Amino acid sequence: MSLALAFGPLPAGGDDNLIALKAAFVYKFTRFIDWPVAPADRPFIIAVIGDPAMHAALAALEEGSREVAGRPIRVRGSCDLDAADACQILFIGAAAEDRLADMVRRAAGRPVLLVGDTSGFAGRGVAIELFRKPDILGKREQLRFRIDPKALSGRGLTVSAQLYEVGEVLR
Amino acid sequence: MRRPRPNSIRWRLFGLAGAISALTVAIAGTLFILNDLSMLRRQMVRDLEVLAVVIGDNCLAALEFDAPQTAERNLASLRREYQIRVAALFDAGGRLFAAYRRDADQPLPALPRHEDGVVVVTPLLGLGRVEVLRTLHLDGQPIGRIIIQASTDELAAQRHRYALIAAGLLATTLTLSLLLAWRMQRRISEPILGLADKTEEISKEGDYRMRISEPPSSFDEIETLAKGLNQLLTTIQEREAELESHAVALDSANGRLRSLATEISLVEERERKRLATELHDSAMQKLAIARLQIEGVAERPASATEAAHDERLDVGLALIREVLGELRSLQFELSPPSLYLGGLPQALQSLAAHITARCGIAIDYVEPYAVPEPPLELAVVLYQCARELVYNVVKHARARKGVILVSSSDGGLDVEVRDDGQGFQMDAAPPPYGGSGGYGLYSVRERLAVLGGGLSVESGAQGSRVIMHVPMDAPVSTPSHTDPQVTEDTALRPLKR
Repeated sequence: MSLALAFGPLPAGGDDNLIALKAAFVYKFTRFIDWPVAPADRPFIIAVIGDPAMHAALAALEEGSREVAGRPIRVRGSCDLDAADACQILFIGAAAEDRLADMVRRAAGRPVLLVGDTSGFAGRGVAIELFRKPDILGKREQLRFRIDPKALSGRGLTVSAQLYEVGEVLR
Repeated sequence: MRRPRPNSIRWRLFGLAGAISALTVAIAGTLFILNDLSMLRRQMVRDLEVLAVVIGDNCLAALEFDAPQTAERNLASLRREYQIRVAALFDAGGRLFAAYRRDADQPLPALPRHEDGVVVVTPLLGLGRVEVLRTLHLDGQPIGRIIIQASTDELAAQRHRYALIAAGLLATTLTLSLLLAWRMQRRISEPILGLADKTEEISKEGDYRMRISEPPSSFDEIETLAKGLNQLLTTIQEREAELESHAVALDSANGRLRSLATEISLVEERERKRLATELHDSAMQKLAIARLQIEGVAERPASATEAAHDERLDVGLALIREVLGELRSLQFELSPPSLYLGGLPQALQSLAAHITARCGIAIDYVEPYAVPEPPLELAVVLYQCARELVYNVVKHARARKGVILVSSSDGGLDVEVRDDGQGFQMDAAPPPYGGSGGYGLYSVRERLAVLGGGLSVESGAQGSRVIMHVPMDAPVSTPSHTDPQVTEDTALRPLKR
C-alpha cells in the first residue's frame, strides 16, 4: 500500500487505508524526531506489538527501502518484550494493552518512541497516541495524534516543535 | 552709493556659487536616495526570503501531517509584517494548502509555474510588489511550495520621505550656501567693484592724482591689479606733468618768438630809419649838390667861365664818387658780399676792417685755428649777431679797441666780441618787449636760443666780453636772404628781406 494514500483526510474506504495512514504517520514521526546518533550500518528498527495489520503496513516501509538518518528501516513484529528492547519505535497495538505497563517500564530511559492507537495510551507512558478526529463540520474524520511530553522526556529524543504544533499536547 | 550693475561680477559669482551648490546637492541627494532605495529594496527582498524559509520550514509538519490550520496559524504570523499582502502554501500536488491575506478582498495567488526565486514586478523606485517563491523540502523530497507577496508601500513611503528630506535638505543647503556665497563673494567682488568704481570715477573726473586703495596684502590678482592701476595712474600723472611742462615751455617759447619777432621788426625799423637818415643826410644831400653842380654846368650861364664849369663838374663828380662809396659801405653793412663769397670768417674779418676804417676803433679779427665753416643760414645769423655786438661796442662802449674771436667748442661754433670799453650793467641786457635799449643783446640772445645756442656776457670796468655759441647742427630755416649778385649795380640796391 502506498504511503501516498496516507496524506489528507481519512480515505472513505475501509480499515486498510486507515492502517496505512497510521503507518505513514509513524514513518513521518521519524522526520521530526531525532534519535541519538548511531552507526549508519545499524538499522532503524520499528517494532510492532499487538497489531499484526500495523506490522504488515509498516513492512511496506522496509520494502520501500526507507531510511531514517541514513539508517535502513527494519520492521519487526513480536510478542516478545525482549525483541522490543533494541528498537527505536515501538508500536503498541490494542491487543497488547495488558503488557503496556511492562513495556513502558522496560523502555524507560531508553531512546525508544512508544506509539499507540488506543485511546488512553497517552498518559499511560505512550508518547504518541493516534486517534481519529472529526473535522469541524463533522462530515469527515482526520487522523490526528496526541503527544505526552512526559513520556518523551528523559529518553534522549529530540522532538521538533512543529510536532507539538500539529498534534495535541497532553496536559 | 554704488551704482547697480545688471551684469555685475557680484551677481555672477553669487549665481555661480548657488548653481554649483544646488547642482551638487541635487546630484548627491539623488544618488543618495537611489542608493538608499536600492539598499532598502534589497533588504526587503532578503527579509522576504528569510521569512519564506522560516515560515516554510515551520509549515513542514503541517504539510506532512495534513494540518492546514496549523499552517494557517504559521502563515498568520506574517501579519506583523505589514508590507506582506498575501502568503500561500501549496502541497506537493500543487493544491492550495493554506493561505494568509492581509485584506479579505485580496485575491489568492495561483501556484506559480516559474522556478524558485524573487520576482520584482516594478523594479524602479520600489513601486509595485515583490514576490518570493520557495519550494519546501523534507529529507530531500519536495513536499510543497510557499509564496509570499509583499507590496512595496514601504519603499514608496520611504521614497516619499526621502523626497521630503531631499527637498528640505536642498532648500536648507541652498539657503546656507547662498548665504555663505553672499558673504564670501564680497571678499572677491568688493575689491573688484571698488576698482571698477574708482576707475570709473577717475575716468569721469580725469583726476589722475587719485589713487585706488590697495587691499590688504593678499598676493592675489586683485592686489596686483590695484598696484598696476596705481602704477598706471602714477605714469599718467607724470606724463601729464611732463606734458604740462612742455606746454608751458612751448608757451614760453612762443612768447619769446613773438617778442623776437617784435624785436626784429623794431631792429629792422631802426635799421631802415638809420639807412634812411644816412641816405638823406649824406648820400641824398651830396647827390642834390652834385645835381646842382652839374645842372649849373648844363645851363652854361654867360657869366660862368670855363674854369668855373670844370670846377663845378669836378665837385659834382667828387660828390657822386663819395655817394657811391657810401652806398657800397651801406651795402656792406646790410649784407656783406664776402659772407656769401668767403664765408663767415672772411665776412667777420671784413666787418672788423670796415669798423676800424670807419669808426675809429681798432677791431682785430682773430681765428687762432681753422674752424669748420658753418652752413650759410647759420653763418648769416651769426654774422648779423656779431655785427650787432660790434655796433654796440661802437655806439656804447667808448672803447679804443676790440677783438672778434672765432673758435669752436662742444661741437659748435663760438664767436666772441671783446672790447676795452667802459662796460655796462648786466641788467641792461634784457630789455622790455619793444624797448629800444639793451644794446640789442636781447634779440641776439633770443635768436641764438632759437638755434639751440646761447649767449654769455661778462662786463666790467676793463671792458666787456660777449660770447656767442651755436651748435653746428642748429635747426635753421631757409633765410629770407638770397645770395645777392655782388656787382656794382646790386651793391647800390637794398637787400631783399
